[in-house]
Amino acid sequence: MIIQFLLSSILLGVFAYALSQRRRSVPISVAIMAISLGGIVLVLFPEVTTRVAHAVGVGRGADLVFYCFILITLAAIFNIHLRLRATTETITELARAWALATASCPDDTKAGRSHRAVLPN
Amino acid sequence: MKFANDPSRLLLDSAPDARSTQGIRSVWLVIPAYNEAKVISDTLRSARAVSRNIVVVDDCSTDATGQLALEAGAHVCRHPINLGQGAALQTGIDHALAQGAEVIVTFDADGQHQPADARRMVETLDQLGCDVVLASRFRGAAEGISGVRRTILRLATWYTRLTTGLAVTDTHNGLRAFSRNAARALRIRQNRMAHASEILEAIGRLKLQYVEVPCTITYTEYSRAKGQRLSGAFAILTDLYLRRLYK
Repeated sequence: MIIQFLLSSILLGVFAYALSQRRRSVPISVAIMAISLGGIVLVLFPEVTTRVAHAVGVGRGADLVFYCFILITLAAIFNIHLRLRATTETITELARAWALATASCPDDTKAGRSHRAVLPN
Repeated sequence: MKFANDPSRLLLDSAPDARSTQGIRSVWLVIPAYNEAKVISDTLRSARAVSRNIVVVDDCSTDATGQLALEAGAHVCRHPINLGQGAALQTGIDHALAQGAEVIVTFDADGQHQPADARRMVETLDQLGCDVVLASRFRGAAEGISGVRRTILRLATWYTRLTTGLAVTDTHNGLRAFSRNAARALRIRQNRMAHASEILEAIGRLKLQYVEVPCTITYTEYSRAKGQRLSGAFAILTDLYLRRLYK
């Protein structure tokens, strides 16, 4: 079916990307590879979803997939949030280092210079 | 351009100012400022009664705050982007420490603090040999404070006492004096307004010796417009808890 071909090729692409990026973070790339492989299995054998759903106490296979989707999305948001905080701290350090390196003294005005500091060459 | 951290300037700048702080070791005032061009010159003029060593951290103001501060005789560190008051304090503290500060006083740019209070705090720090001197408007006077602001600050103080175990009577007061060692131990990571609670938390965690002294805070039309909106209390709580989660 067309949808099975579409979904599984996209998931295969995700798998390949995660595999190529594994040097950046092993746990995250392994998690993404596992999720995309799992997704491919479910796309190719939809009846598996229903069986797994019943096994864990969910009525329909589609519901189980939806719940998993929500969890995965939340985990991804959390990961982005952590990175954002780390980036903010890095930017703060950088801006502070710049401000300290280019601090100006009262003497600078007497020489008619602007307080807008210039980075040293 | 001659930079403030040029070692050749260090001696001159950090020499104790006998006239203003009665021979107490080198005292530095750290003043974070964002768009304070209207008042910064007046604030600096009166702040010189505490110490002539002043560093204004211009948090990427869009007005002439930095230029005016420099003309008024202060050192100026300018953030290339706006980071917030907490980040500005940390930058100023770093600069003062690099200049050899023995005592660091944080002071607000909007003129709500009294230089006489700051001087008394430096003397207290020196005489008692403690790490931190905090100012309390509720031991002293809060002139022109509104009832709502008083209530929110009381609640915030109660909350701070509960979470930090410090017996303080005020919180989120920008007037503080730190010994060199205390200032070095402190790392402000809350870039925005939650830094005030963070500092108190750090005092508790690092077991710094502190005393609280009365101070007078004058709420003017300007400081009220410029200062914290009361809804800020909620944002500060959120910041504090997020920081605890993602430390």
